[in-house]
Amino acid sequence: MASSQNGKKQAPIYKVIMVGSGGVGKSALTLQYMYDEFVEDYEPTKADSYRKKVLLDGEEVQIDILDTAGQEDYAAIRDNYFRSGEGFLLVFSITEQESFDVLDEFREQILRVKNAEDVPLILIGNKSDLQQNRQVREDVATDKANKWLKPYIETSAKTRDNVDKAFFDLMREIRNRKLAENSKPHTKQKDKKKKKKCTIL
Amino acid sequence: MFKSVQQKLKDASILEVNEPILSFIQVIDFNKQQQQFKKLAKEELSALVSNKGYCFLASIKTADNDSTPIIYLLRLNEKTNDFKLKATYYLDEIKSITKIDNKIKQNLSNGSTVDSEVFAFELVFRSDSCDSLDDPVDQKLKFVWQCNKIEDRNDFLDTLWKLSEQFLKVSSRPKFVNYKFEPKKVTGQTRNDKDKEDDNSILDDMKQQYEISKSDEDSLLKLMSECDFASSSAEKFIEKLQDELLKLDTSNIESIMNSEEKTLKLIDMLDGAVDEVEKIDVRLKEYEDKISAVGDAVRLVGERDNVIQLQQNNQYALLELLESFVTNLDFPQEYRKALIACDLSNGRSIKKVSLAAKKLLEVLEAGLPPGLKKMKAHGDQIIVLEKFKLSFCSNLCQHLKNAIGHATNKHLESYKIDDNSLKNIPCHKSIHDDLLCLKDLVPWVHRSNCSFSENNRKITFYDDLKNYYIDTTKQLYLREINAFGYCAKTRIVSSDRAKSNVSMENIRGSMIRSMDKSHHGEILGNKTDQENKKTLKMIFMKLLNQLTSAVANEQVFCQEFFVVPSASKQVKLEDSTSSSIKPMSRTNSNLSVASNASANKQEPKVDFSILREIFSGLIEDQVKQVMDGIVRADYLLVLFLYSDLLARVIICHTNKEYMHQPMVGLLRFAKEKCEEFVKNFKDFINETKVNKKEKIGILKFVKYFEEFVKEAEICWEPIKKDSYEKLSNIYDGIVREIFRAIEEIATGSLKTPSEVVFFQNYHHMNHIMRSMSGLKELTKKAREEYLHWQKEYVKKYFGRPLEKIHEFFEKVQAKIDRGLKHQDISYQLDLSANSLREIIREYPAKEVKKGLSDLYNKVEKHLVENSNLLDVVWREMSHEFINQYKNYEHLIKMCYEGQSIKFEFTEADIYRIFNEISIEKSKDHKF
Repeated sequence: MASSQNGKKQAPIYKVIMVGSGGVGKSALTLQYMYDEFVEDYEPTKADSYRKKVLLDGEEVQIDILDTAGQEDYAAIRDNYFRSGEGFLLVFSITEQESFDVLDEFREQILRVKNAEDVPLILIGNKSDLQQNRQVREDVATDKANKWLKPYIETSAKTRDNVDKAFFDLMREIRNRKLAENSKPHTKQKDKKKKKKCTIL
Repeated sequence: MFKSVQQKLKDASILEVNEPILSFIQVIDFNKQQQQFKKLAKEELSALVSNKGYCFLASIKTADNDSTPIIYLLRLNEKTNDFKLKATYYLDEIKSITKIDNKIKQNLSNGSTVDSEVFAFELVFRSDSCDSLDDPVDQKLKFVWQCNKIEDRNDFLDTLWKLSEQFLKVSSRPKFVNYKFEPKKVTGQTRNDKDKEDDNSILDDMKQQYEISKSDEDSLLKLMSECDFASSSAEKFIEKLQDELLKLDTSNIESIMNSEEKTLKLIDMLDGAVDEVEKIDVRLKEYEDKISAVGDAVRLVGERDNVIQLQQNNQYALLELLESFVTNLDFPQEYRKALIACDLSNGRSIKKVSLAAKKLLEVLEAGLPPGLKKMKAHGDQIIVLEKFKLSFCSNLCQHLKNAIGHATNKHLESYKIDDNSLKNIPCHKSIHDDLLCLKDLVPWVHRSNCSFSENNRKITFYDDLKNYYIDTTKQLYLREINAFGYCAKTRIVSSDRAKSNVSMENIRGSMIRSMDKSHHGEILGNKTDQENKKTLKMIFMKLLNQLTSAVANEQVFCQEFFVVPSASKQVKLEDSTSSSIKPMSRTNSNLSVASNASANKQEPKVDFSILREIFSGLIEDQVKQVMDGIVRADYLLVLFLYSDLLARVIICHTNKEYMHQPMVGLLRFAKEKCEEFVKNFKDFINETKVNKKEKIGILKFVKYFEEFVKEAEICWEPIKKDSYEKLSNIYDGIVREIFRAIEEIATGSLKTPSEVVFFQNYHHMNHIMRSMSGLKELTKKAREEYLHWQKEYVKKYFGRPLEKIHEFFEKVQAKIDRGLKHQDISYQLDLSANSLREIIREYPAKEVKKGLSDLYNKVEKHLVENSNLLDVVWREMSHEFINQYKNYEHLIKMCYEGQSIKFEFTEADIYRIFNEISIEKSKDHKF
């Protein structure tokens, strides 16, 4: 049974964490990305994990997605799994202002837990198919992302619009971060400027 | 008697023609001396008196509108028996008429009295001067006449009465004395028969004419009698009426008289007319006879004309027939020469030969009426031509065979060089091009239907030619396809570098190796397995593509070269029948029955028999060998073979290619292989044994199943729409087998908690199954199982770090659940505040941290290395742990209030501990 673990080089694992309020579509985005499926019925997630192998710019990698609960009883528990995450998708629903506003807190928590000034992170405005119910204007979201110096992507888990882009862009950020970490033995590097110009290998 | 008398009187011009005798009486003068006559007749009367024999007769003289009854007094000359007119009296001149019977005593002139029975009557004439009734009768105007017979006298008086009643005005009527009219009865009875008869002639006529019914008569009489005494105007009126009546009667009688003449005339005229009509009739008949005679003549002429026309037409038709007969059966010399020469060297001569050949068949098959075929000339010519046809056909077939052989050899030479390293199946275009020049002649051979005998069997030249082509081509293809197949096989073996002793492996081993290879190949990031798969697929696809195109080319060629045009009717028939089963054959197009039926339904009837004979076995043999090789190299590729053939069969079916037939066979083969694989896989799952004392992670067959699904989904992608159900069915069987095996293994596991075996494997199964397009129910089941067992696992382990506290409060909770009041709990012996305090003392913050750390390590150890579920499970554990801590605090508050019992650690401590653990762990995994 143990034959599969014979110490050979494995595809690198990229740990992605879905963050955001309840009902913004974190699970929907995950399932759409993983299995091309869209589940209409809403069922609150506690926590679930998905893994799959993908080709990232020609390199085979494994993506581990931790789909978390929007409503967590004990905020401290979040710290624990935030800590294991390497990249974060901060998801809000463009049809719900509050889900957008609350993201600053989430970001601060992540930065605090990771003890870093910058982590791979993308601001995701989901439910772009529901334009008629939009509450968060695109420029407002872009402003926030610019303030964070992070990209902003509008997605639709229903139509699969920009779903792959969101995950792949984040994986690229993670990869770049890993490369940077490895090249500099000392942790806690502040390379905000480099962030904007990713080199794709 | 009347008639003879009347005749005599007429002869003597006494009576006029229309003066009938109404009554006749013989009388004698009774009192000569008393007679007085009217002045006019005085002399005659006096003369009369002297004579003894007299006759009276009553008559009526009719004028235009006035009829006056007349009484003639005649004297009968006894010697001559002639009548002489003595006097004529008008009835209205008589004043009274008295009937005298036997009682009357007549004083004769000589003074003696005759007292005998006398029948007499007295006539009193009117005097000129005085008309008064009361005046005493002038004796001179009084005459008495005696007659012999009473009947005669009564009759005479009756007549006079009737006449006076009918023709005279009341004023001028004579007065009847001692007389009463007794109609018919009296007279009728007394008169003899003969008299009655005579009487009838005129008097009865008159009677009838003027007869009035009895009641009328009575009323009239009554009226008249009244009138008589009533007024003179009534009498006048009667008179007038009588006058008019008289006039009318007269005119009636006259008009009757007159019209009789006219009627006679009319009858004459009618007679004349009838005569005329008869005459015309006769003449018409004559004309009719004449006309019918002419008609007959014309008809006769017409018929004769028709017969002539018919004869003429017949002659023309016969002539025409003979002409066409001759032209039809004539086979010109120039054609004959062309056929004998049978020069097939260039296009023009081929055209010439085929034209001549066509002409020959036309002559032989000329649609002559059956009658003409009985002619000897026809028979002779046909025999000659048939012989000629046979010899030409034999000659032609030899030429054609030579052409086939020549083309084949030419082809072989051009490909000889690289015989052993075939990249492609050689194209037969050059052969086909060479032969297609002759394509016009092949149908001719078929049409000619010539045959020869060989080994007592009759073989048509067409079949012979076909067989020759089949044999030659079959040999050629056998060589080429085998060579190509050989190449493919060597490439398969060379690409399969992993093991050389593949053939020695059993099927199970082959399957495991294939799955392992696929599984590891990816984990290692070593793409050789995927590349290998790709290469093998390429080899197979190339082989089938080449074969398909070769067969398609051959099919096109055969369709053109061995075209049999006669079967169009059959095609139509099949078309109609197959169209009805079309929807069925569409849905299960891979079934051989349906596909055979639809394969026959080629629009232009394709002679599949030729293709079948060329390729039968050949394709299937070679491809099956290659498939075997591929399967041996990588068993998982059965999925590819199966799906690829499914797609190809559908394409061949829609394109109506012969290739469909071998494809169906190959598909069946691939399906069997696939089923065999699935069966082996299931057996493998079923028979999987794990060491219970070793850690159990994701089971091997689950990993294999992942590979299986991945490959299957890739293979089915192009045929998802039509054939996904087949894959779904395969999945279904395997998945159920896996679920069953997970259950079995999990329950038996010792080292790894069975909950972990369950939830890890179900989680992975759910992950695998979500990428399938079907089996939604089973996928959901896998997820539910995963969530269930994960919860069970957390439940089982989260209490471990505070085990004693946990146990203590479990008891508390149990008591409460049983109905014990919160405040009573502390009085329970084993649940006292002190014992709780003791237990709590055992768990200082440091101990708790150690316990949680151990739990984390344990979970990490239970799960597979690098499990993505660690975070999930740990989150769940933390959550439950905090929940529980809060619950304990709540219970302490409820049950041990005032005992100042407190945990040695706070909620904040717990958060800190979790934080520290996660920091420690994250350090281990740091990038």
